[in-house]
Amino acid sequence: MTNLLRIMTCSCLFVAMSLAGPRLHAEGKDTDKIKASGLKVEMIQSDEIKLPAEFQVALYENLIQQFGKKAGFLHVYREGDHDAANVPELVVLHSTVSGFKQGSEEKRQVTTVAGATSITIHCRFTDDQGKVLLERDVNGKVRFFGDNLKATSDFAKKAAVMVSENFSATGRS
Amino acid sequence: MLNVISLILICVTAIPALSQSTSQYQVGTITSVQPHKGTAESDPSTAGYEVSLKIGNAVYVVLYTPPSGIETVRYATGRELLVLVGKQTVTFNDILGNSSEVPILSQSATGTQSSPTSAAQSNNPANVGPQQQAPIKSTEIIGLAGVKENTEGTLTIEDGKLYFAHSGAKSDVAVAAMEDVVTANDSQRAIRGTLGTLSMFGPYGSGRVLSMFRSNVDCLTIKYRDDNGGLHGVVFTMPVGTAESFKQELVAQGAHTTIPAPTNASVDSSRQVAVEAKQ
Repeated sequence: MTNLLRIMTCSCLFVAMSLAGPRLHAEGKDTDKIKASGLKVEMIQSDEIKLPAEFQVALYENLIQQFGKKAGFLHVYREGDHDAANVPELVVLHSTVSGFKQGSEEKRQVTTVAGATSITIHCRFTDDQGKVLLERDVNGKVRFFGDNLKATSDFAKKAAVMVSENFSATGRS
Repeated sequence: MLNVISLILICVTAIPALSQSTSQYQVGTITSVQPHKGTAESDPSTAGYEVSLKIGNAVYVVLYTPPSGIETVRYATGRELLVLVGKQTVTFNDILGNSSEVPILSQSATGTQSSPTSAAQSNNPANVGPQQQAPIKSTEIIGLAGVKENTEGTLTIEDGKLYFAHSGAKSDVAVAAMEDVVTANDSQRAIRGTLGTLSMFGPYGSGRVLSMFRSNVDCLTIKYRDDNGGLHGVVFTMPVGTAESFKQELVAQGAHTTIPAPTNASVDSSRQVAVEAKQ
């Protein structure tokens, strides 16, 4: 009987720790996150490395879509949006192309190993005063299936995950 | 005697070569197919089609009357074929090698107003305006508000607005709000979608062979501002040879572009990048 009681107590403790651990860890991580109430996405710049216009637009639109899905706690503003002017704790994303290799869908499908498309974007998050909050290089690739523009979607998904990992909404505990 | 016979034989052999026409076949691309209104109204059973052919820097609109019951020409947009351009007609060979001759309704250099070459055009209101105002089959790749990615529809320019009609709905963008309109060339698989993906797993490499069948498309990329000043971008694909004329129509109606005066109708992105770099 005593043994049974001990086993049950241990089990309860184990379950409680299992459930509480990640939650406490998450809360601890949340306090490390950068507080923001909105995110303004600037158009992708490609001054040094020339990027076809359709890639530039697809990157920008995919970013806005993915931020809406995966970083929904932030209000996403487009470049030039007048509503963003009065938003406190607004984070601005400046993206610059640092690497681009346009592959070929045909080559990918025929050879499997050749023809990958790859884009590397330097993402710089600043506050409204221009102070840098976070800087990362994010890569987008398409190796096997899909057209070349799929690399832009891959990049946007990774960038959205990065935002959700590093930013939290203002007022959230 | 033997020498004389040899000389005669050589001359006889050379005659067909010398008598050949100096005209040469060229590669033409079908950019649009529209029903010919005049024919359809008079006799619907013998419906003809106005087929726009882009040959070099010129666009020819020819009247094609298909054999009875064969309407495959309606789906021929984007197809390339060898054509021989005459003064009033265009000659082409079908897949069986039969030669056909069709009359030219109008002819225009890419990016210029069409000039009538026959009386038929003056009777046809569809040919009076610029050719690019006709609805163009297009696919919205990304960016149009309220429209899913890879949605097929038709693009038109009416009353200073660009309309994208798709499955009963219509989205529009004001031409005056367009900050940049850029064209490019691309290619896409002939078999796309789920079937295209599944075909990759075909036996004995047949999927790989199928993926080599590709059709050329034009890309039209537009950056525009919404009412709130927010920057948007949208990418369309359309039949080859149509994007540049469409862009020029947009520019004529007030859209802006970073590439104002293209030297070639099929300006690809890399060429545009080179032009930007020079500037």
